[in-house]
Amino acid sequence: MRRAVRRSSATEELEVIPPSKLAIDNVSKNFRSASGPVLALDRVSLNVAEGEFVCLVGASGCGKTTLLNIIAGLEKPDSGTVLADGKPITGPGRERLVMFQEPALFPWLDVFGNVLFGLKLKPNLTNKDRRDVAKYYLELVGLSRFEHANIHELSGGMKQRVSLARALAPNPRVLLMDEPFAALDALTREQLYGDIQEIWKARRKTIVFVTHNVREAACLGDRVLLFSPHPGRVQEEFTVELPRPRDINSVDLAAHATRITKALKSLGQAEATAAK
Amino acid sequence: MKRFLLAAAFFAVLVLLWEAVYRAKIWSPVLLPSPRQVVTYLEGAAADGTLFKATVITMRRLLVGYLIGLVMGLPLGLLTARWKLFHDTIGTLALGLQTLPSVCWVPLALLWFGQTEAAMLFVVVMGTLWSVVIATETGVRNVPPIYRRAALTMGSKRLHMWFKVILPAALPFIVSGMKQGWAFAWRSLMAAEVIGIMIVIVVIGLLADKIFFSPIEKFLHRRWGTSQA
Repeated sequence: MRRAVRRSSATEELEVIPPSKLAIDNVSKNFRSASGPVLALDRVSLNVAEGEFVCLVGASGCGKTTLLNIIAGLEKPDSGTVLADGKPITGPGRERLVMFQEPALFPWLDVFGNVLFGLKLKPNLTNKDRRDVAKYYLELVGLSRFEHANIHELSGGMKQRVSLARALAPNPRVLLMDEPFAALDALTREQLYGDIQEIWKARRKTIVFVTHNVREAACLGDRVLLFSPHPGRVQEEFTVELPRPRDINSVDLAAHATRITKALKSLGQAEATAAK
Repeated sequence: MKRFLLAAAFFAVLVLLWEAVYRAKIWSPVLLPSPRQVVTYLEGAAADGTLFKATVITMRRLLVGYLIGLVMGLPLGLLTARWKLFHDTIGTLALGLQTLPSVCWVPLALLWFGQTEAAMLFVVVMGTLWSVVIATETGVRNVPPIYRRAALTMGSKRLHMWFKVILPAALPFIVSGMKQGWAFAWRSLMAAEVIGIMIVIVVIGLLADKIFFSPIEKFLHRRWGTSQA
């Protein structure tokens, strides 16, 4: 039977598609360093439901970024399995797009060209559709007026908005965010917390969000997973049941954040005594 | 305007010095003609068309040699950046030969090809090729890994990755290599032609830099945001 070639339209392309569920089972990963192998991840298991917003919190070097890269397919685990919708992840793919800490925007393209980059790699779309889709996402992040700006002319916050639009444009099922707001000032960050919650609600993505900012994690996540370093493990799990949209400055949120911070601190002390 | 006047004054002083040395009669006028004699000669050559003809021939040699150097150098640079084997062989060769002043090729080229166009071309290609190879390799190696990773997640692979990500990211390096290659090609040709139109060669070389490379570099700095000013 021959498969009919089907062109999807811009409206179809913009449809909300069901998000993925992730199943990470017993994943370990070693790195070689000057002082011998370092166990970055030690038998980490974790499930993420469809459309869930999960935050990974921990000190620097606890392996949370490594886990994110493994989910993205950019790195391979030494052992264990990672499944997206029941299928093993064998390499990077546009089902799971990454938003990096430093903006990985391409300076040789303007804002519009950057958002268009992933769309151009999607077959079965006309160029007009691609442009319409790119325009839609630039509007979603509030940057329609900057379509033709060069990347280095943008502020840090704007760059991350473009990164977000670029990651959203190919309509992935999973969004992986690696400390995307760490380098921004507080005011810009607070705006983006509001935006990301709105976009998450509108576009229905599964989001795995890495951060070392506990308050940020409590503000955004349905669940917050606490990572312990050396070796990287999931130490504790917190569920944040607060109505959305959440305000980072609310008292209820602060209570949750305090609970997580306490756990994080006792982890740090435990490690300090272990080191002695 | 002030900048221009200062520069003009600088060159005026340079010509005056030249005239002064001529008048001091340290060397015979055959070895060091006065500025006036040089201008008269150039006027004569320009009037009877020999200057124009010689310039066209020189430019043709230069452009053809430069293009051959580019067409060979770019792919070689990409190969050396991509595969260790090419890096260890062609890369090392390029590094060695680039340090060799292109003048050194002149006697060899004359011996191998005689006083032919091929000898001239050979010298120009040798001047261009290696700096283009090295600049391309350096450029590709300096592409921030995050660009590649971001492109990978969006589904870019192989040729698409090379043409849409790595080459554009390496372009500022490649253009500075092309510029250096141009300067080397120019110098090697000067060495190969060794005739008394040094000034013409210097002026044309400067013009090419201003007309051709300056706009490209300005554009790159604007887009990439690497301008220091």
